[in-house]
This record gives sequence, structure tokens and C-alpha cells, in this order.
Amino acid sequence: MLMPKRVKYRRQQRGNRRGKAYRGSTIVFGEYGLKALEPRWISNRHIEAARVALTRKIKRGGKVWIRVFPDKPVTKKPAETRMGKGKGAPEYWVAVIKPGRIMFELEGVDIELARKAMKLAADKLPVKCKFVSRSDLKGV
Amino acid sequence: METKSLAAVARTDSGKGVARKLRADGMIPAVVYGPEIDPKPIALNEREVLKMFRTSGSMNMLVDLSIEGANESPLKVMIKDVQREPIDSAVLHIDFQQISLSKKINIDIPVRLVGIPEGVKTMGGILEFIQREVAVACLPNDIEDYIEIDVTEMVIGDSIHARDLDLPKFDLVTNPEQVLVTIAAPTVQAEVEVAGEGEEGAEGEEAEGAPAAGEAEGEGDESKEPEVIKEKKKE
Repeated sequence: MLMPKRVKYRRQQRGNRRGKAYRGSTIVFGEYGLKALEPRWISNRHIEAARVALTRKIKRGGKVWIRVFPDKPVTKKPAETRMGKGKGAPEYWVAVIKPGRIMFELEGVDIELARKAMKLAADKLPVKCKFVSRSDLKGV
Repeated sequence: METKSLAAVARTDSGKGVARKLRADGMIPAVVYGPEIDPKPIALNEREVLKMFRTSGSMNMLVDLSIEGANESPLKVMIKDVQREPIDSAVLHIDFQQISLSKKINIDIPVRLVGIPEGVKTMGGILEFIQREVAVACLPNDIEDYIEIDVTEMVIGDSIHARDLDLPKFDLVTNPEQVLVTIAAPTVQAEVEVAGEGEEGAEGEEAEGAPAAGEAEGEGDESKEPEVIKEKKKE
């Protein structure tokens, strides 16, 4: 599963998810994309589940890009622990997703199959998503 | 290439408040600039702009921009930049650049692939579209909506470079060695499939009544922690 190889600090503050994804909101590599419509943390498990769903649906002939990386550690205190005694241990990794972010890109399949594959991937994610393609924007 | 015509209104006010009011009234704020004119803020009718985008083959279009209130003949302009809203891709702002029809300009022309490659159809290869635009220099009237590349003959391992393009009207600006399209062997994809099948098997085992093993595996994967970069001790 995706996680950083090296980090400077083991724990991070939570930060905020205000605003829109002004960066990473256009399709860059592929022909089709999956765009997030709401802000949420997406864990590495979510990303992996969506990737597996995508690659299984397109079988072969297509190419998938993952445009997000879970580089934020989320900590959790053990169950039945009193408050205090410091921050909990890192539990899993998340990518901070803002509305407009392209999370996955796809190429090499027809639009109907791409739509179905992206729907399966979107069902694995905790955010509302929409299918986008390069031809939606004039310029290609 | 067809020339589009667009009517604009000059605007004197600027800033985000003014721009928001314009957008609420169905207008798009824009600016026109060029070597022979001072930058001029304008506003355009959103419906006209979207119609212009829909009816053109690409964003490389010549536009006759007539500005209401300015006692000038229509300006020959091209779209330099379009700012879009991240979620619904609505047009927020457009930059127009005034051009001279007698001077060559550098422009990116989209590449369009024609046909299904033999390597994909019969050999199961993967078509990799590496560079979707080619930078060229040409006169504004010679601009084409797109450059077509016939890929039907391509087999696995074949590539088309920028130097292979037949562009009589254009001077190539992109590196001639730049690969545009290639057909890759399906080996990478096959590995992914094998991994996927392995996971499927693991899930199947979980469902059959060995959840503890699956969970332990999952936890083992999760518990791997990245290396923490430590600061060097000061001597």
C-alpha cells in the first residue's frame, strides 16, 4: 500500500481542508479522470481498493495513473486509554483531497469502459466523484 | 482556419468583486494585450464564448475581437490562456493576445490519433500517447486545429517521433527526437493483473473462514513505518 519511504516527523497536525483544489484539477496524463467533488481524507486502503477495481475492470489495454499520494500520517490512541500522555501512534496514511482534485486517470480504453471502471473506483472512495474526460474541455 | 468573431465590452473597473458581479450577470472577464496595444480589460458574453468554443476544432483559433466603445477596427487575437473553475470547469477568465498575420508565432497544436494500431488489436499491446501537443512556429493563417497521425500500422515496440511528422507549413519547435506515440508490450499490465489475482485469492480465503490470517497480513503491511530523517548532530 502507498506510504512515504522517509519522513521528517512521525506525526502531523490535522490541518484543514478548506477551499478547492486549484492544483491537480486538470487531466494531465490520460484521457479520462475521476474528479473529487467534496473535501475528505482518503486513506491508502481506499486508494488501493479503487486502483484494484480500476485495473480489474479494464483488464488489459489500458493504463492507470494515481494522481494522489497518502503522505499524511493519522494517529490514534489505543482503546480504553486515559487522556494525556502524548499523541497516539501513527495508524494509517491519508491523502488530503479538496473538491476538484483529479484522483485517477485512465487511458487506452473506450469511454464506456472507462466510465464503468471509474464508477467502480468511485464506489470504493469516501468522496462524491464525477467522471471527466479531456474532450469535456475544448482544446483536444 | 476559420476566423471567429466575438463582441466585447470595455470595462474600467477591476478586482475580484467586479469580476464576480460580471460572472453573475452572465459575462466573462477577460483581458487583451499584445505588442502593439496596451493591456485592455474587457468583458464577454458567456454564451457567445461557450458557443465559440463548441464550434471550433481546438483552442487555437483566430478571433476578430471588436470592442464596444473603442473606436478601432476589430483586433486579430488568439486565446493565450483560459482560467477555469476547478470543480465544474466553468470559464472564469480569458487572456487574448493580439497577433500580426504576417509574423510567425509559436503555438502548440494538438495531436489526434487515427485508427486502432495493429499492435493493440492483435498483439494486446498498450498504446501510449506520450505527447499530446506539438510546438510549431507558423503564420497565424496556417494554424490547423490538429495534426493527425495514422497509427493503424504500428506494432509493439514502434514509436512515432516528432521528426516523423510531415509538416510542410510549420517549423518544428518541439525536440525532433521527442516520442509522440508508442506501443508498449503488455508485460507491465500482466504483472498488475497477477498481483490483482493474488489479492483476489487472499480475499477469497478470508471469506472462506480465515479472517485472522488476512487481518494479520493487513496489519503487518500497515505497521511498516517510514524511516524518520534525523537531524545531524552539531559538532
